[in-house]
Amino acid sequence: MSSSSSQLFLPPGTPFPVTLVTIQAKPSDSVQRGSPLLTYSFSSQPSSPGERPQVLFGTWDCPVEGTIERWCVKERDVITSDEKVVLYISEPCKHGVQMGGLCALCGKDMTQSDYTGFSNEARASIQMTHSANGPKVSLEEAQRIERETAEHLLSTRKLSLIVDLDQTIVHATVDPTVGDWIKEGEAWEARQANNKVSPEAENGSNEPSQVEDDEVNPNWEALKDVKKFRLGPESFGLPSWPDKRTKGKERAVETQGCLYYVKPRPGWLGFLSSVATKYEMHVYTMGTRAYAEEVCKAIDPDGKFFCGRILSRDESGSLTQKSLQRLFPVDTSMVVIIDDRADVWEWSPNLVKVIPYDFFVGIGDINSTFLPKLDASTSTVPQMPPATAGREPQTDPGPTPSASTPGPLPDDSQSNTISTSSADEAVAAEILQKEMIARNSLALEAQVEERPLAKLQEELQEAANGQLASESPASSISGQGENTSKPSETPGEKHHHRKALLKNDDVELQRIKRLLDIVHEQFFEAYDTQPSDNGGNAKILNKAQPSSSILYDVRIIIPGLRLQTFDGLHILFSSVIPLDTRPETTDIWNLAEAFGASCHTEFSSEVTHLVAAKRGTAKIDQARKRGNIKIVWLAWFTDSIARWERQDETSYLMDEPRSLSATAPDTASSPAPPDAQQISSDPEPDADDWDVEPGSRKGDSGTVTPGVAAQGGGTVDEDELDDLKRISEESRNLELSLSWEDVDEELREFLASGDEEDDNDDEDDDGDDGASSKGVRRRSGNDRRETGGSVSGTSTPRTRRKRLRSLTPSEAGLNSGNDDLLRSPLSKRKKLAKERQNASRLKESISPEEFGHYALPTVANAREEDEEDGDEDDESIFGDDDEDDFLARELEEEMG
Amino acid sequence: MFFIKELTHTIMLHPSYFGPRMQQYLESKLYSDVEGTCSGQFGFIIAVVSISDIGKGMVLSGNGQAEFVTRYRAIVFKPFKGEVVDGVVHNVTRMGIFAEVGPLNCFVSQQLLHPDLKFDPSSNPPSYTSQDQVIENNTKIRIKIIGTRVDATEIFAIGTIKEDHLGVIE
Repeated sequence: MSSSSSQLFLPPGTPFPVTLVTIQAKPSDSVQRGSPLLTYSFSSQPSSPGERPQVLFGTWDCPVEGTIERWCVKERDVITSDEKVVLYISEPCKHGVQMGGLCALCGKDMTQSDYTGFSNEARASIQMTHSANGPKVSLEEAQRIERETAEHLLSTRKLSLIVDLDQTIVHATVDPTVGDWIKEGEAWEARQANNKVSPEAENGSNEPSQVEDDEVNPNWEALKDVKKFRLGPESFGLPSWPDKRTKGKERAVETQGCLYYVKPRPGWLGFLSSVATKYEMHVYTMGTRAYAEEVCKAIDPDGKFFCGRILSRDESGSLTQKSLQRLFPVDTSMVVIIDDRADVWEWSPNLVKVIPYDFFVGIGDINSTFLPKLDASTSTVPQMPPATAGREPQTDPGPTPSASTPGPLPDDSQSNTISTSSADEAVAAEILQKEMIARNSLALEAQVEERPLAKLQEELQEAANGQLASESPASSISGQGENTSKPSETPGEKHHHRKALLKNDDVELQRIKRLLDIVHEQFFEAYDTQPSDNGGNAKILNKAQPSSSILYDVRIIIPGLRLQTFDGLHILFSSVIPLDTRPETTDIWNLAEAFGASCHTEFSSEVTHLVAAKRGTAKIDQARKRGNIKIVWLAWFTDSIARWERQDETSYLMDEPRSLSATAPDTASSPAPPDAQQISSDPEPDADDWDVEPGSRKGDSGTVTPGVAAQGGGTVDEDELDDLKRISEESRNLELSLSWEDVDEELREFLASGDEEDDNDDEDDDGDDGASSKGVRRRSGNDRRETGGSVSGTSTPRTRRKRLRSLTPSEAGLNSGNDDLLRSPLSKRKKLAKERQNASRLKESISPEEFGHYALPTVANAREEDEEDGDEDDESIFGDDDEDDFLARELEEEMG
Repeated sequence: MFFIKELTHTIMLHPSYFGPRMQQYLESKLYSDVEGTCSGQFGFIIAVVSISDIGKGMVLSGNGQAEFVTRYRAIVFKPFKGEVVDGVVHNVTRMGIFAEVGPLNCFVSQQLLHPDLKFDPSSNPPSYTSQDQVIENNTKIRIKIIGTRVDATEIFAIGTIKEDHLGVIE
């Protein structure tokens, strides 16, 4: 058990500086705890001013037992700090592993303390097992164990993977609605099974009609693999409850516990089993122990993936942070983390961030109530362009819960805000922790009682009914066409319009698997090319900080992968970073650089991308002038970051706000929603495929009746992607040269249908296939996530946007009238842009008279709209006027 | 080590139990009170062998309950340093193994296993394996206790199997 000798220092309480007087033990003497080692002298601080300092003497006794190896000091040496090694002593046992107050190696009691003030217990303070009161080890011992683990992993060519549960590989809820739906679904399955048997027996009597009428809950298909389990009240971690909560109803959760419904992320089984061959997986969750075990039982019934390597909040030691050091105290170079929250890991370089899995819409993470609110993470993915704020793949009438409350936990936002405010201060205070736990269970209760899912479904249903009533025949055809692609639908489409709230369309795990494979591959590639002598191995594994020459380190590989995202791009931000902050310190700046982009504050020849949050800024104008800069919405940036892949800019390009007709003022009036700019048809100078590509992306729905598709398809999300589609469809419209009557008819119908038009959203999500649907789905997922960070001040009134949209067909018509303008040559556009640039109203003061001059009737309308908006700042208003002015002039040009 | 020890236990009996079946009640109360408990002083009380004196039953003034100071003989189990015991493994971690020696929980550090036994994290359930031996859950092992931690109501032990004749038993 004896290993290398241990160093001894003078205790911190020694009155430094001290002069050694005598050394009382010789090398190779064996000493006991408490044997005198040396005496020293020091001068006392005078207690009163006049006194002279006295020379006093002290002794130092040996705090450990062992054999003295050598002294590092001589008599009459002066020692000035407790950091100087005084002697080396070889101990029979260094008490490197301790368990329950005993040394696990020699069995000695470690809790004894005596006058030497040396605590044996403190020598082994690192807890590195998954259990809460498992053995504790010293740093030295931890290094040894990790070395062994690493050797084992390397020999089996594996890495360690820490897996988060909630919203990463599963999504859980306690909403009883799910249970009801599952029951409905199961009953339906049973009926189906019966019906299958009975027609054969009865040789097809009048059964079939019943079968057709039999409607399954629309969510059943997605709910089929949902697992459920009940956790008792003790799992909430609160043995007794505050007195105020004595109402019988509220006590339900307390007495019976909760029924949890867990939905594994699609593809989880394939993901786990394939990742298990390359990684040794650990579970690290903020749920309770009981919860973690139940979830693992659900997704890993044999225990072959995790093998009991589960760490829950009961063992974690912190309710607000996850710590890699908790499991891997020394060497984290072989550890990969997948989690949906980067903030709890403090943006660790080992982290592969997962897009949160949000299956039970609007439920969020049921175990995250005491985590800092998600704002912390979304703040780095800051304000979306105004248009995306209101964007929700939701139905439209009134504010739906998930649209109005942006946070991860819509229904307990109240309790959530309290916890946010307290979460920061209360890192360790136990009382506060208990409070947080109580709050968490309160949130659970709220969920159980309020049944947010049922509400959402109801709203969806109502909306669907409303839509059904006002749907034009044509659009219902397209709606049905999309419906049929859902496997769970019964054939009787006509009276089947229940919509699924829960969808099974998540592909995130495939992306994560791909990333993990790459990390694994790169790690072992680097490992193999490394000179494979064991000395090299030991070097990395021995040291907490591997030297920079070691290339096989996950902490280099993962950030390296991230860097490739924007590799070689030079990004300039416009209206993204607040003016009053230093751009280099903002999160988005750092994020961009972490993903490999170079950021600029001013234009230079290098800039390749302009990321903008709104239209009409000086930078955008300047970028257009330069011509070779891609002007993209902020969504391009955030999507690329979320997916670790540079997204195709085409769908995110900011179309030039150059409108062409008398109807334009409506659209040109706002700098905000991109879909207000439907009409602008000028391609980006460098995006030559503008007219082709988006159209080809649209796929099927463009081929039905273009006008209808423009209606239906265009409203998927309030999304620039859709604008592109719409534009392309409109241009196709022109090519098909539809008759004006049709268009006008469409328009009338459309206007008559009023608000319900948005209901097409979900169908479109499901119906489109190929690349475009993927795009849409992804966007909607992002929106759900990102609205959290960007509600305030950016919500544009929906009604207004709708009105704008409803004008589309006629606008399209006008475009067709001015065919030559639509395909205006590059040079002309450039000229106009230049003109506008030079005449930028931002630079001059505008008198009211001038306003009056430009205030054509249409422009006045636009102003009114602006006033409705209310929250636009001065600059944008000026920008608008500038645009209006420009439009007016253009109109004049056209007229005469 | 097991001992037969004479112990006392005080039972408070409510007046409603005063009657013909009082004796029986006292006995069953004694069994349920003491068997399976652990005291730091005597160790785990495994079983009551006999009751030597059920007590006189003094009625306390003030509340009317009767106090019986019962003397009984019981088998107690107290682990000692250096003792060799047999146990069943119930948890295997990379730090070592946990074994149950009857009521006693015992930890054997990984360093106190035979050096040939290597932790195998990929096996399910986790285990220590060498060429001819496997230690996993429910393996029976012979342990030498090298240290005990005795609290008022709990005893915990540290053991080793890194000596001759210790380790897996058939």
